[in-house]
Amino acid sequence: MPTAHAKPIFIDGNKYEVTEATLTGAQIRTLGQVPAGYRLFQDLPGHEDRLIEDSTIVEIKPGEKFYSLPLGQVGTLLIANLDQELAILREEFAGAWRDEENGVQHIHVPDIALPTSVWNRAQVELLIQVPPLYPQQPITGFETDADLRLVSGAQPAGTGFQPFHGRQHMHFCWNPASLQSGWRSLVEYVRFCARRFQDQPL
Amino acid sequence: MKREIVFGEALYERLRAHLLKSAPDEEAAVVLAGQQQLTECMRLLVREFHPVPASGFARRSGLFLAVDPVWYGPLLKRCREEGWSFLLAHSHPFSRGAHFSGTDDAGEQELMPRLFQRAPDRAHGSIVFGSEFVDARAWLPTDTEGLTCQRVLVRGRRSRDVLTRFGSTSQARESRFDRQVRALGDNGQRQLRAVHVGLVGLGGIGSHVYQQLKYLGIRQVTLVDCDRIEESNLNRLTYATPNDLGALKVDVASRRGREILPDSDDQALCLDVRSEEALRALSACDIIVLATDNLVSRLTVNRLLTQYLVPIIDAGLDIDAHDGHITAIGGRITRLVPDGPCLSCLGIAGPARVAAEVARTYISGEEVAAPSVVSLNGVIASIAVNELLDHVTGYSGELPELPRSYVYDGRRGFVRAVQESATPCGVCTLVYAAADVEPLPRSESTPTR
Repeated sequence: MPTAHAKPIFIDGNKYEVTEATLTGAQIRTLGQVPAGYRLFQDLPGHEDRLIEDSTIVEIKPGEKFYSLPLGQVGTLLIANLDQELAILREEFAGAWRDEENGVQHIHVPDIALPTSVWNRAQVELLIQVPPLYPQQPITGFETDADLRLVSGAQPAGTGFQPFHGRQHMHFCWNPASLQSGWRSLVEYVRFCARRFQDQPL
Repeated sequence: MKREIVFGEALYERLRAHLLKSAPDEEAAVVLAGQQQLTECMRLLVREFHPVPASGFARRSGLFLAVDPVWYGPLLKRCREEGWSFLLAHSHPFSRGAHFSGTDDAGEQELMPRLFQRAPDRAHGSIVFGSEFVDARAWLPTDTEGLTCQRVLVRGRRSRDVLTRFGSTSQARESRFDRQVRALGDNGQRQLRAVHVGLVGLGGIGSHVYQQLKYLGIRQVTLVDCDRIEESNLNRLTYATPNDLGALKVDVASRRGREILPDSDDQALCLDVRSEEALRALSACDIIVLATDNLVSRLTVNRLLTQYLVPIIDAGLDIDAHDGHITAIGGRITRLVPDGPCLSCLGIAGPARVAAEVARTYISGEEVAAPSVVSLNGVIASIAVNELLDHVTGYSGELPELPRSYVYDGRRGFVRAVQESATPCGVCTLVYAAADVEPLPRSESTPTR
């Protein structure tokens, strides 16, 4: 209820009545229900607007205006759906396709080039099982044909054998340190694997 | 309502270079644009961009960017105070085409309401650049979600649409254009069919130009001319016959245009080209051919080049003759692009020449009918249409340096390519891509010739 000493102020266009001579940024945030993570500013016509931190003390004059702005967030951290990711993947890996078995999504990426100086063949298909909680749960490995070997005939390091998709496959446990921070997209992961086959022969 | 984004080529290439410089990591920039409101389309014309510096990111990883409002807030304030639209641009450099991601969608849903709160009554938007194509969305204040733009146009020496497209664009080839398609390709013919041309002046040169546009298969032409056909015009108007005397040039021409190309969708405007209605109609075009010898009209339309980023092909011919003896025949065809000099910068229609024309014509009352010969007009018109054809289809290929102008010496019978120097006129920078944010110059009520 406004009092005789109440002063109108505006936060994000909404009017509030306050009686205090000063308010902290935190108090203004609470009053205006400014979402967490948004930055709060004091609107100063004709001048550069003032950033109001939680601890900033603001002398309140009638009609004072404040507004909040979110971070401008962009990126490929979360892609709306697997089909959209697959469309992006196909820009680089034209033959990539998807199938589903018992509710589990598999991404096939054929024709990944291998250097024959290192591997016993020139191309391989990656078979990636999309984790059930993807993208929150990261992709950490993929399958190839079970007979993929180094040119020496040795089994590559970091691999094992397991039945997958109805037959025996070689499982690669590639969990790139460079992609550890934050989320890795399917596209980013496949790109990493293709590069590692080329750049980091085992 | 359709939504489009338009770039001048030089600015587009600079923005693209910035956004792709850290590939495969993403980059971001804030773009300020002028808004153009047309009846069926809203366009955002890109005026400037501001790369986000390292200090402008609140958080950043290879595939995630959070632009700090402390950095972008002042730009938003400029939008609020100066009338610009705000677009957040970023890149997905790992793919040729561009697609908005879930992160982009979520970020946009949060950002846009705040942009409208701070800078209301205009559109805002976002652009994402792939390595080759882009995707873009524009929001109007009443939207609850952004709508994908139908075209993202880059206008320069050539114009192109850089919007990511999916699926086939193949179309049955019309046999009437078979010979032309053999030269320009199916894609070239599609581009001709889609381009919207403005044609100012339906006199000696304009009549040839219009006829050729129709034979090329250009469906949509906005014709501006307020004159009627007089007997003295019948030596050179390729669309007119003695039966058309007294009729409006735009009506007779557009009727002939429909005979040549029955699915024409032309707009015939009997208006002073300097009227607001005519200029608004011309500002919607993809390219304008200026075929009027009136400097005041040319200077007025010239404003659309920079303010609305509409390329212009300016064509003119002067015959000096006394008592039936020709002393000089000089023609000029100049291709003007939004990021380049305008007619005023080039001195072709500078203030001094325009003032001299006004003084000669309207103060002294001297307005002598100029000599005009259909065949000489045809030379100029054909070069102008070839310039338009190259602008739309790129048929001349990747030449190292394309000339800005062609100069025709009709007595010696040759055409010379020239690259004139230019002095910035000062107006271009001020009104660049300002669109409806900046008023167009007021016209005086003097008709085109």
